[in-house]
Amino acid sequence: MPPPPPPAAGRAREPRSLADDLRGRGEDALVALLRGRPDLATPVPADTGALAVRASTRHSVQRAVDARSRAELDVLAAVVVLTAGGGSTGTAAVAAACGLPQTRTAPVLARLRELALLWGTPRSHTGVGVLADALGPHPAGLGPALLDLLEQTPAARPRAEALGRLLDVPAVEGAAGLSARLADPAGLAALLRAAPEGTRELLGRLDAGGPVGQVSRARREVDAADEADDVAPLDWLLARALLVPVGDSRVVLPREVGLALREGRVLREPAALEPPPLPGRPAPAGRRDALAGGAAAEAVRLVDALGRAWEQRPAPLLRAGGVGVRELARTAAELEVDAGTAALVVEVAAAAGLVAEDGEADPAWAPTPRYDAWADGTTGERWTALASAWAAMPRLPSLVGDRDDRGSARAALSDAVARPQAPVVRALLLSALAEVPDGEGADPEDLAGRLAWQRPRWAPARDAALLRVLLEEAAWLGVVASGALSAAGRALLGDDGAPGPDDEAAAARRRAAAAVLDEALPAPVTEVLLQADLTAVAPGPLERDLELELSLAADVDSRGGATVYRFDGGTVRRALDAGRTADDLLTFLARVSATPVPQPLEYLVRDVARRHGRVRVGSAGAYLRSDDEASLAELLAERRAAPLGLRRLAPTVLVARADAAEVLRVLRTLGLAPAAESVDGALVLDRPTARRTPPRRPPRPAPTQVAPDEATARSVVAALRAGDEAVAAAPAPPPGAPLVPPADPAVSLSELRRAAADRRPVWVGVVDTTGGPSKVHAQPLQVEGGRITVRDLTTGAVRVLSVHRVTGTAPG
Amino acid sequence: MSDGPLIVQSDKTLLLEVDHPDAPACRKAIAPFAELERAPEHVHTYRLTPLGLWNARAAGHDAEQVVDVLLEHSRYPVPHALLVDVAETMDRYGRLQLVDAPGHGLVLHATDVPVLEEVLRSKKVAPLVGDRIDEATVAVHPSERGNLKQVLLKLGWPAEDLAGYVDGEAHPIDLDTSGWDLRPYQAEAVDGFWDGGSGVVVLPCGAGKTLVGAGAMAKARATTLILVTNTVSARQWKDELVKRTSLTEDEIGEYSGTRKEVRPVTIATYQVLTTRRKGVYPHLELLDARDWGLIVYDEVHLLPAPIFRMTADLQARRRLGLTATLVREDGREGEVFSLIGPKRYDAPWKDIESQGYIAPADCVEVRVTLPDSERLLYATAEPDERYRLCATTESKTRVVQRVVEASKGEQVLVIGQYIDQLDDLGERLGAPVIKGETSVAERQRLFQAFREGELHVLVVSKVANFSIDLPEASVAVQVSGSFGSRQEEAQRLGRLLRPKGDGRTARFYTVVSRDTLDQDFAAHRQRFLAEQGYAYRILDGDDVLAGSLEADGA
Repeated sequence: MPPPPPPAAGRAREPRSLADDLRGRGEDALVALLRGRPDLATPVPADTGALAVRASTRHSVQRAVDARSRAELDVLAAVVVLTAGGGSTGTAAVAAACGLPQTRTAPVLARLRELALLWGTPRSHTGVGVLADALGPHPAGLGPALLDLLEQTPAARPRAEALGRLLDVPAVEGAAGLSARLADPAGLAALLRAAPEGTRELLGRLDAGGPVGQVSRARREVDAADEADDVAPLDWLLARALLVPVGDSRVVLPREVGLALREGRVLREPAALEPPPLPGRPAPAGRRDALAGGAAAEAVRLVDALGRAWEQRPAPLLRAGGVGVRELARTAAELEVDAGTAALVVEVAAAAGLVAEDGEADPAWAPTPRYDAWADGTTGERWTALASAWAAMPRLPSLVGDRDDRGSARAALSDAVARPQAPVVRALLLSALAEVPDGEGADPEDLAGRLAWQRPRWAPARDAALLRVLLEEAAWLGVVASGALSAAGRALLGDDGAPGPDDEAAAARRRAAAAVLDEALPAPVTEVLLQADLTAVAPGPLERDLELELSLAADVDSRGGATVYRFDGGTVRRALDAGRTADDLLTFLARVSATPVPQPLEYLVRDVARRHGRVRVGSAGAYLRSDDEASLAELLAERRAAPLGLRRLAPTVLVARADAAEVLRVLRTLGLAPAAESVDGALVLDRPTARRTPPRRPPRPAPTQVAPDEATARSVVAALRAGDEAVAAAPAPPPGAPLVPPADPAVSLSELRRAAADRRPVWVGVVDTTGGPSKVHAQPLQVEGGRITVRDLTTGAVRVLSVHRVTGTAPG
Repeated sequence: MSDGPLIVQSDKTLLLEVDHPDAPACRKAIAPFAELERAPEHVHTYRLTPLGLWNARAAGHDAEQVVDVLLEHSRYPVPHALLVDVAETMDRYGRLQLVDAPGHGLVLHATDVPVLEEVLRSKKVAPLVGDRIDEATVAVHPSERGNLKQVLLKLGWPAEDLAGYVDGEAHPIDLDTSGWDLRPYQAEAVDGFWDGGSGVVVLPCGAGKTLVGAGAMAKARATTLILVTNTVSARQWKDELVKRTSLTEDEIGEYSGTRKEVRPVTIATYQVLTTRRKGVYPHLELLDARDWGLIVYDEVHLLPAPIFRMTADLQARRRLGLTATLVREDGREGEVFSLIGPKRYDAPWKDIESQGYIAPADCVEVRVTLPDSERLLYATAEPDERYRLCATTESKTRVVQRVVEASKGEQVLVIGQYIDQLDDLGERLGAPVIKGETSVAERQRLFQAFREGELHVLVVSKVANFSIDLPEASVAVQVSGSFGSRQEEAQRLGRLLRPKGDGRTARFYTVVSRDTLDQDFAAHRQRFLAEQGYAYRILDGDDVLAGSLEADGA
């Protein structure tokens, strides 16, 4: 093998490995790769070689393959089948194998190459080493080649030989000849002409349902010479090795037979390059947005209510993390929703960073400072914060309350509810919804079909129950209504529906969405209707301040577009407790009421106020007591003590506004000798303080969940380039040792296999345990299961190299 | 966004802004399917219930109309779940029909076979039906018609009863309309009932329900059984029928504790029908004594449970229920629906008042501050004695005296619960007392004297709660009641609502002790009256004693 030319010349020639291919790609192509396969960019690979290695690992390829659509998988399968014997395949061959014109398959091939699942040139394609493994044992539903099957079931060899004779394969052509002749549709057709009735149907069924069939006694004795009419189709096929038994109960259709049945195409049906259409039903935009607006306002209200509930009484943190079932039930009761909705409310609030653990000794969930900023926003602004957090949250609130594997209920806000795939499925779902034309709505079944097409190999995308749950979440938030994105949802998510990286464009979209929603929601009202049955009706959403004040003095009776408040003795007392006087309340009511305050309501307020405060509780900074009434009287009259705000409660007791330390200080300067009392006697404020956690960052999705944005990807590419230059500038290898260019592991392995077979020495580039590269001049002895046994020609010792340490080979 | 008068809440209440220009049209549109729950001055609350929706179905409205009405009048988007729920609920009515199939007699026929399969699997339905006739039809024994309807309602698949009625024994009855005529709403109620076959007419107290009954009898022209709450009411029905129809005294029988007459028109009390001796109802045969063509249930919301059971067997006869409210404090609204029939006519109290057919009323609560001695007594009393103590305080009695004095020239009723208190009041006010032990003859004499203005003040116990016609009473003073019952409140107020000769406003005083149970119960009643749309004021007992019966300028 010639030494590799410098990277700059790579564009002009056929790349010999994925690394080589990548090195030859332009910056834009690499950026597209990194954005298409986010796992490649973190951590940033050292150079293009490292990038190629990472892109060829089983894990990464599997992940990339699982994220492919039906169309891409079909084309990949075609490439894998066409290159099963090694080497590359041409664009025309792929198109033929798919049963489609080149113009249609070429863009798919280009995309797959962009994603580094294929490498080569625009006309010639090779799958990355582990692609066949990642696609599974039966690409495109085809079985293993006849030769491989015969290796598994040597007993079938004589049958294959008989088949060879039937097909007139010259003995010199051997198995390869048989394989070629068998894959010829005409040859198979000729053979089948003599087959008993039902044979074609049986083959067709096997081909359609995957190449493996379940039978009893697969290893039965059959005789090819049996030409009787009543021979069973299965026996007829087995006797000619057109079906090969594998194990006791399974028969497999060899790949060649499958290809022949498909008239030489790899795919049974021409590849489905277009997703199934999303049939829409009419869903008038006005109605849709009205529904979504109602849902959005309600979701915002519930999260706000959650903040207000938890600021008074934070929800204790379970030892295992999260909020327990009972605590959630209490919260649900407080919010007047069911437990499922409550779980959604707390999860979305946490995802938006509005509630968090407070980090106290007895940890609890409480609103964060961010909640205050959030609560000041308009409904639209508040909603966009929730909706964006929801779309990106790697959690599935619907799991709350379910039993986990050990039978314990999953707690809200705990790790048991984390589902990294949730934001990906949400994004798929939302982008599918974004394709529904305005004024139409899609049914969940059709959306499920679309997702299954987009990610056929990925279980979460095929999970109809998960999809339904996510749709319900979306409808609850008002992102989706009537089977379509709401106007605000569309504005928030952009045209493709997928929540992108958090950049300036996203912030602009959030502002636009907030404006759309605020426009659609009814304007807040500032007046209520007071009635003699002690109710107040707010005929629309109330301004927040008004609502806070009114909910202090009355309970909510009924919610919806309007709110009905009901006053009674208890609620009026609550307002008085909070420091309102009867006159405050009546003035407030008179101000917000469009009509005079009804006499019974006024009577109620006055009557409760009359009884309120028969026992008086106040707050003071400190108290002073003394048996000497005269000295207390003296203090009250003392001008220098005035800043303490002294007040006489009883002849022997004064209270001070100032705190105890200050009182002590002032009294001492006055020449008195006061004694402090323990804090046990100190009065505490009646109103609980609103709890806040220390500042908390909102949770962020794991970096691999989200494609890096353009700028990040470009900086990664720049780093790669720098790495490549560093490698190029590395000192020359020791004399005698040639440069060992990094190669795709699959390439290295095939080189090593060939060298072992030809008993030819090679230079092997290896990385030692500390990551340092070195070269071994060796004679490969055996290549098996990821381990390469070599004789080190320098030392004469036999070494075992792990395949993942091999960076490449050079002829030696 | 429309600017309609209606706000549809997610809890299935409908808020109607009454001052909105479109409010009357909206009210008319939603009345068939929504129950008016509260009618205070600005915003009326209606509620959507399954029974209400099924009533609407029975009256020929379909879900689409209901949804359209909601969407048309609603100011804000209507919650989608609610619309779905309305459609689903309404869709359940009439999937099953009781019909008279030629050759098979009474059958239960399903327009939707799976529903029939579902209900037939119920253990409660199985014993009530006979053989399966075809896939969608199953035989029903005529005697189980009522029970089956009741069970199906409980299962949530109310059956539409299309099996028709027997004509009963014909008997000529005509309205004698010399000098009067049915009021328009009464005529509408009669027609609504007759077209529907069987069902309930809801009219406020004082709106002339007896005449609706008479109208229905004149339509049926058949022997009629009238079930009423008590003997006095029975006599009033009889008088009214003699006066308003072609019936003579001899054609009308009274079947009560004292008399057992069975005539073409028989008026029986609930009490006598539900009298039990040795585990059997000896007077039950009255129901089969004649081939009745019509059965009238007065005050159907008070219908005792045994009568429901008896009514289950009378499904082939036309049934008319009369009531002021469909709300039953025992929650048996479903049985009224399935056994008597759906609501056929409903007119809100206020509407009839505004047409001048019933007197407007002014409700006043007088709060009496108890002196320390009485408060102490109350505070230390046993829990089961407390209400009685606070309801019967001396301070209240003085206020009552003052109110009665101040109402000189009016016909005053003093209504209470506790006999001792009433006797005491009667003595102090110099007024006769009517209570349980007062004989029927004596009661009638006193009521007559009151009606004719010879007596100005009458003290009555709860015997007078129902169905006693005292059109001239213009002031009622309530001193104690049965623990804040809303129904009782409606009935007592009803005593005052008969139109007065001179169109005066009736006054309804409730005297309560401040800061006691009495006041808590009064709060229930206050809410009820305010919800019914009556002006409601609260006065201090001290102000009343000082001479003022008007609000203190509030």
